[in-house]
Amino acid sequence: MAVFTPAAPVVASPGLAPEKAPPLAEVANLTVAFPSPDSRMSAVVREVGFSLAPHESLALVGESGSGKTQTALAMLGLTRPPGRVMAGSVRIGGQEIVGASESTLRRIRGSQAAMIFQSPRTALNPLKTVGDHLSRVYRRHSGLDKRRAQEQALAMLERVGMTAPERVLRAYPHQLSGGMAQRVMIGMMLACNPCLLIADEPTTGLDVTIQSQIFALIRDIQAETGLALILITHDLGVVAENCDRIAVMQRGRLVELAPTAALFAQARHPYTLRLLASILRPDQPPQPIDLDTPVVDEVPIENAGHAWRAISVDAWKALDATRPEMIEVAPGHFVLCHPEPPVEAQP
Amino acid sequence: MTLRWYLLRRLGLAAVTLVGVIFAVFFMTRVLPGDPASVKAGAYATEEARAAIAREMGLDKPVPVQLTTYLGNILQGDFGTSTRSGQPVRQDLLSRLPATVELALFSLMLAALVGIPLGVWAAVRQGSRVDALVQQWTILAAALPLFWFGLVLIYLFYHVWGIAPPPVGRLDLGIPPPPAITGLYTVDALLSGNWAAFRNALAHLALPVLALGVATMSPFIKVARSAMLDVMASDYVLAARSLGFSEREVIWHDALKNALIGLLTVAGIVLGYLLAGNVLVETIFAWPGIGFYAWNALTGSDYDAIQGFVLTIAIIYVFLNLAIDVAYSLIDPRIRLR
Repeated sequence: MAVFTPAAPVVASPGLAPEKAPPLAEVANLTVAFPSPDSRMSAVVREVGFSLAPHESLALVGESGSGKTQTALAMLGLTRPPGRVMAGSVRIGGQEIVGASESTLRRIRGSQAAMIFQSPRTALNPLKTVGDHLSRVYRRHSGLDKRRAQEQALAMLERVGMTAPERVLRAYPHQLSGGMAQRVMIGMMLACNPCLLIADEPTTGLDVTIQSQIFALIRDIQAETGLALILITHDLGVVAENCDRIAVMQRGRLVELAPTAALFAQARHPYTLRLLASILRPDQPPQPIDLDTPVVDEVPIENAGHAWRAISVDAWKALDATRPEMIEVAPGHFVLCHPEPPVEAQP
Repeated sequence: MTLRWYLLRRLGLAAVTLVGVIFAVFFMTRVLPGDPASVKAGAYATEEARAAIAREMGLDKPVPVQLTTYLGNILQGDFGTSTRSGQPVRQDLLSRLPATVELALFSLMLAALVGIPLGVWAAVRQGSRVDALVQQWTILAAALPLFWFGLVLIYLFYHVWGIAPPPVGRLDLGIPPPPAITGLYTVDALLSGNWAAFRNALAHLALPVLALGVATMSPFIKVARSAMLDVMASDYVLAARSLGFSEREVIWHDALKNALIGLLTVAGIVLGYLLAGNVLVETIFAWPGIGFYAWNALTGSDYDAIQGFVLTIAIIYVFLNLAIDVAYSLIDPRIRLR
């Protein structure tokens, strides 16, 4: 993880959505850092920028620790201290999030953008019933009285496809299955009536049939309400059927951003290629994993042909300090490229 | 499993524990060195006199017979007779228990009402100067020797500044105790509208309560702080905040009740400790509670009194634990609705 250096030049936000509609969410040059053991701030999200049109679905993919969740949390102003947003800007519905007051953030959270999490059962308060959770949201966001809020809660459980909603209303989180708990979370999110849903690995830990049911529910809701979606996942299979565009993250940086079809067909960044190669395909025998050769990072070098070559990790580190930029290689298809490397990094 | 079944099972367990304690107390006093009859008869008694007393106490009978008599007596509420006071032990303990209960409850209130907010405050401001100060205070409060702290309080508040009443008993000599309703002077004085007695009883409570409250505050602070930190870092607090609930709402609605579960255990342990009669504090403040009584019984080889004291404490502990388990199940649906 590179050490963050302040006074970063503002990188223009790439990847404006194909349509010319004003973006629903705009992230530019976002940098989030946490103190490392030597107490210097170490960036976990670095100069990330993308934008999202209304009704659009964007996938944020990448390995664990690549900064996906921290990007999402920063978008809602939920970066947990001692972590901090060091630079950049996040605008949701035209409102700046970075540096906004707590009361502004509260107005945006839920009603503009809401989030669901990867372990739905722990995301519910163990001491409150499902009815308490849902009606609380209605009372907070719609100002309903207790009785009306309970009625709405019941209606919402039906809407998210719960069988026996009356029983679920009185249930406690520990009595729910993971899939039911995620439906409750989705219901709570829907009760806020947001324009943007950030789903942080919403089906991790659920079995495959439940997983597809949850995604079907999210797609139905999107069709019904025009909800925009940022889907965080490391499952590229899930992405292919649910998202319009894909943003690939590695080591805190956005390395490639492209429409889903373009990414699957013509990925350019070596990391994306590796990620795609890791998908098991029924029509091809699985590739044996070579554990003996150390993984050497490859980076695209910004030269005439946007070619890249393999370089050593040390050279990678040197390169990283040279401020790579997103280059548009095809319409709407951006790849992180580095300027010509310093002389010592040449092979 | 329904709540009723859960309570029945806990009650059954409590009964089993009590029977075990009664047996343990009986055999422990038989195993301990020293013969109660010779203590009661005195150092210069003849062998005939000692044997007569042993016969009177039933010590000449075989152990199973003694055990049956002992169990029968306990079940009838007969804890024997104190050699020091010449009164039934049960009467002695019952007349002293309210003094200890009053002291214990006020000390627990002080420790919890100051300790829990301090711990919560430290957690909400984790890593700040407030947090550091609170943490240092927990170490200091836990490390203060109780007898020394009690004496310093008496020296300062009574001797030097003259604010506190003399550290003898629960009321000034000229003030008659309020009519016994609960046995707690402050409560009884309030119930009978006797303000002078109420103020005086509070004044007498102040210093011993301060000493015990400070001594038992640290576990509340520590557990409140760590429980609060755990809860604040939990997924459901993050989820609640992501839906637009404020930090304050989240602390009051989600975090505190969850943190309370751990604090219940602390409250139970601390209250048990306080009710077991604080020999040191009750002795320093000449507080007529069961701790003071037990100390006198121990130094005077008053066996029936010691047995009665141990049994009383055991009963208190068993019922305290039962009460806490019930409280748990009321708060936490994961226990209630397993």
